Amino acid sequence: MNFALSSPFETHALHALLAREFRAALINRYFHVFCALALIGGATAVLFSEDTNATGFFILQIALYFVSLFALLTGVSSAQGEREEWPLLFAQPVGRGAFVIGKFCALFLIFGGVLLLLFLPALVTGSAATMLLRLYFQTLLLAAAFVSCGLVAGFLANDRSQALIIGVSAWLFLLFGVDLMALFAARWPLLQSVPDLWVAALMLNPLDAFRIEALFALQQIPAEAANKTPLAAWWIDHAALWFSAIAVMWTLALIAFSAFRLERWEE
Amino acid sequence: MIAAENLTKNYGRTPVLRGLTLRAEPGEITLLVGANGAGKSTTMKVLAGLIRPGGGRATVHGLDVVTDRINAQRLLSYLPQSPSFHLRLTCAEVLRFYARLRGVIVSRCDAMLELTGLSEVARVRTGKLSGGMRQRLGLALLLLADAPVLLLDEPGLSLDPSWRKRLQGTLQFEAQRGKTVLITTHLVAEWNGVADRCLLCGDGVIERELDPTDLPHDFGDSTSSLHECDREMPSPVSVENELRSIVSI
Repeated sequence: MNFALSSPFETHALHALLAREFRAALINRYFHVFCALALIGGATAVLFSEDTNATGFFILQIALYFVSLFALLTGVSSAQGEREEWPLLFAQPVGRGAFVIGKFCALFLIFGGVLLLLFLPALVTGSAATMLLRLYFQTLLLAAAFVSCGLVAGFLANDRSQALIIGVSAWLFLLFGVDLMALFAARWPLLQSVPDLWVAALMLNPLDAFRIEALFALQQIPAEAANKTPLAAWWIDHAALWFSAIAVMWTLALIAFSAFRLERWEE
Repeated sequence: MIAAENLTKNYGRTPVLRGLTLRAEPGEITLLVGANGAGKSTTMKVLAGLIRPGGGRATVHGLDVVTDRINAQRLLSYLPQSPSFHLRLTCAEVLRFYARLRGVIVSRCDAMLELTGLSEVARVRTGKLSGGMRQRLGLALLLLADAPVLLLDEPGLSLDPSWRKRLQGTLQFEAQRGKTVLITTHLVAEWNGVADRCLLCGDGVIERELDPTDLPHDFGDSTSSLHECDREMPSPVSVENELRSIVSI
């Protein structure tokens, strides 16, 4: 079967897919809950923080644990939601990559809107709008990477339970597993002699890249504290750029893998 | 026209198609009949571009369904055995989605809902439809794109006898318009005198061609109920008139 990426960009097909995803999201109760939680989280961050930096730090925690998980679950749900319809969908003259791209674009735009609810209370009441907007766009990039991760899990698995297990395992691995492995690996003589290897492992993890970038941007860690190796120094100097790049790379790679997986799917 | 030559397909180590060859011509209704596991549905999935054959070649109007899949799919409409739809979307939304996906004018959707008797449930979510209604929604999707090749996998199973009769009338009309219609079924006798050709599929090959005017009852029998409902049916002329009005949309 030809790996047809020639037609995913047919405008009428993408338009149809976007409209359908938006419609499905609007009537999805999980999205209603997420919107409510995002607004409550944003309001709580403002109410319980002493200053704008503290508010940003509060939102950073929400983004790390809550937004990343919800984005992943949304991707899983979207990919698995119409699995039984695939025989009918894939008999249509549209490249299967279009379904992945359509879903991703719709979910990305939806998250763009929903995350505004998280940042809105801080933006309305706070003064550091530039810092908050920067955190907003980076949270959106993080959500994009985890939506893609959820899509991969959803398209890889044979059913919803399997997809959730794959997706949540990947999320736990990126959130805790990479750091734990790095912690244990730090004892190895090789890593002690070449600490940049250790730094590189953290840099490749979008959650660590996001965490480091946001913490330094929010001035929660003094820059000199981590300025121990040439690579770490470069990372700290270019933390925002690096996080954006790694998030986009993860997103593109996962979308391409999803499209490849779907193209190979047989009933 | 549909042409398949020496199609083979294995599921794991189990061969399902063992060199199946068939042709279905425009203007004809061709039946593909056979017992469960004969390879009928697998053949349809290969033709619809859903699975890749292990060997052989299948074309739709000369376009290879493997190497030129999307262009071949533009020429066909496929109705799976048990069509499923997005459970949270309504019938009308599902039709509009597929219309947009295929670049069909959305105004055809209402005509399709009317034709399949689903106008009253147009705003009902597909998750609340009965099996027969879902099958009729599938039929509406099949006809929506006005594709020159129609593939139907066991289309009558969830339909009541009146709608099975109506389905036959619809497909006869489409064949008269020059479309290629290929149907798999094991309710063979129902198609007596309706189909133009009947191919008996067994063990992954076409075993022989049956006389379409004298089809056996070997693969299931629900014709008695079909005949009982004949008096309630819209006449073929009224079905044809309804279809002609849709063709003009």
